[in-house]
Amino acid sequence: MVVVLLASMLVFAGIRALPGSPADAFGTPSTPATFAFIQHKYLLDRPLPVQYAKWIWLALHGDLGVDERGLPVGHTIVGRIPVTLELAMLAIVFSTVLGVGAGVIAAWWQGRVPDYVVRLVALAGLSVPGFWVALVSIIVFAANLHWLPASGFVSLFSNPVQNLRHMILPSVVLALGLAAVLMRQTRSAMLDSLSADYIRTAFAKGLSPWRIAGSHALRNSLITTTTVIGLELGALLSGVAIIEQIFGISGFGQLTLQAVYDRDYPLMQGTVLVAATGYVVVNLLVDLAYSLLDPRVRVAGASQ
Amino acid sequence: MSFANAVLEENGPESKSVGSRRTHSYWLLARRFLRRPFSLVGLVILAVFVTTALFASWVAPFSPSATDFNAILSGPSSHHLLGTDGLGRDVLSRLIWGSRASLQAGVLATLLAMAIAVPIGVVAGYYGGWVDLVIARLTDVMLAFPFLILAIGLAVILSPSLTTATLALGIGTAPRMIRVARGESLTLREADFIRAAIANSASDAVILARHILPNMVSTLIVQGTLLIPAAIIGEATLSFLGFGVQPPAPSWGVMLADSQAYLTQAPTQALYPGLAIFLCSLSFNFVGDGLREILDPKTQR
Repeated sequence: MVVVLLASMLVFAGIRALPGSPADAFGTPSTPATFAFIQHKYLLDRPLPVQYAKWIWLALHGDLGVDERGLPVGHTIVGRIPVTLELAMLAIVFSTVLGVGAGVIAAWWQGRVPDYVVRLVALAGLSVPGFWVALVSIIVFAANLHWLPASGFVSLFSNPVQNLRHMILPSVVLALGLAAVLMRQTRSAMLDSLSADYIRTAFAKGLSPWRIAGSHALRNSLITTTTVIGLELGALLSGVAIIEQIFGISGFGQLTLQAVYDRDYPLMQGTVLVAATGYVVVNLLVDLAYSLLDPRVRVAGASQ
Repeated sequence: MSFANAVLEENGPESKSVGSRRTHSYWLLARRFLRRPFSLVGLVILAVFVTTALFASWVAPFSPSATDFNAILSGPSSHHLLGTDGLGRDVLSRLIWGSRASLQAGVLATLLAMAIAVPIGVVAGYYGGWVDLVIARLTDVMLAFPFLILAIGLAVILSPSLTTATLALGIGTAPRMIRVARGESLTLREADFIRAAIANSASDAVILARHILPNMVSTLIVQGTLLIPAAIIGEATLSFLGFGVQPPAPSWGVMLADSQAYLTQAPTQALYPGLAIFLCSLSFNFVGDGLREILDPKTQR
């Protein structure tokens, strides 16, 4: 909650620090009289804290104001979120499967060929700019092989197959960077848990390697993985914006970029507020996921 | 954007055997570093990039802005080794000149992030209490803020340029660096030799400057080396979106943005700058990884 408030204040102050009054954005033929009228109507002649209080009060009631084309900001944002959510979810699923899987493999065969291969690939994944992978994948899969469409978007509900064809490239590209981070974290977490006593016990009991890796070691490593996903969400959102821009998907990220390109202040404030809120909500979910993964958290919570 | 992911790598709250590092001789460390093939390869590639960037005016066969309208979008030839772009400019020369922007942004942004983050993080970790609480909260806020918005906001306020991109990258990375510095000084504070210094009634300033900072230098070097590639990618991304280096100045990100117009006719235009970014940041990552292996006692198991 504090995080959302502080982030929203930061944006508000930052945007107001920009040169020119937001009233300028209403077009050039603003005579001093209209200028004053707009200033007054949008409380721009009042002190900054008053403006902020008014804005946040309305935002709490679901009213994010009107953007510079006169469209309600809240409505625009809500319309853009499903696409972005789908993109982000797909990316998280892909990167988790890829990153956690590769991390487990690397840790299990530590210091041997699979470990080196996986680590090298992960390092390459960290060194490659996501937007370049996006460009190259468009060249290869869309422009030359014609397997997948290069840009655009079809709603999941109107045509699920077409929707997936549009989403697969952007979400895989988006997933690669996150997968590399996840792989490295999973690997080191797995190495930690594999050296624990209970793993030796499990081996001594004669459990199968699958059960040891899967239900003993991995389960404990997933706590780290979950934290990383939560932490990487800010980066993921930045990535989403660029990927949406390149693939021509009109989602939340593209809307945010567009707001900045157009200097649409109400829209900028709205998108950042929504982004910050989303970040906090997801981190809350991450905290909840802990209690599913780690009984100790549950016990500590219950005893309080 | 995978920018700054690198910092997060494997630096959870870990206890370190502090103090034993000093006993290694530097020669021994250097030899152990060079014996790792990937570190060596990284160092060599890096040396090539830095040398060509420093001596760009001698190495590059053409001026980065010289146009040759008789050879537009030409393929590789003996005259233009990597061909020419849509305005007939020599791609190789632009790559070489563009490396300056990338390296400059990468190194300066990282130094800036450290200059901001280390004092804050060290103080937070060392003093603890409400100071730490406030700093940790603020760091969380900064982390919640999508970095791209910050960078773009700065570019809009100060007009986009390499300097604003570097500033934004430095500020954007600082929160993660604060976490690292804070974690380090938090663990160092509990070390016996710090307690001994306190018992000897050393002042806080002396403890911070003489005992805490020198002992986290190796961690900072490793983190810094891993931050540079992230910042290089960040610079390329910002320039690509038009919030960094402004065309016609050469920058790998600008070249990629230009290449978008010829994706079908001349796909190699999009290939070379991307490969350059990839190789450059990969070599930094190799070097950083190697440094971590030799400097971090935790990995010596």
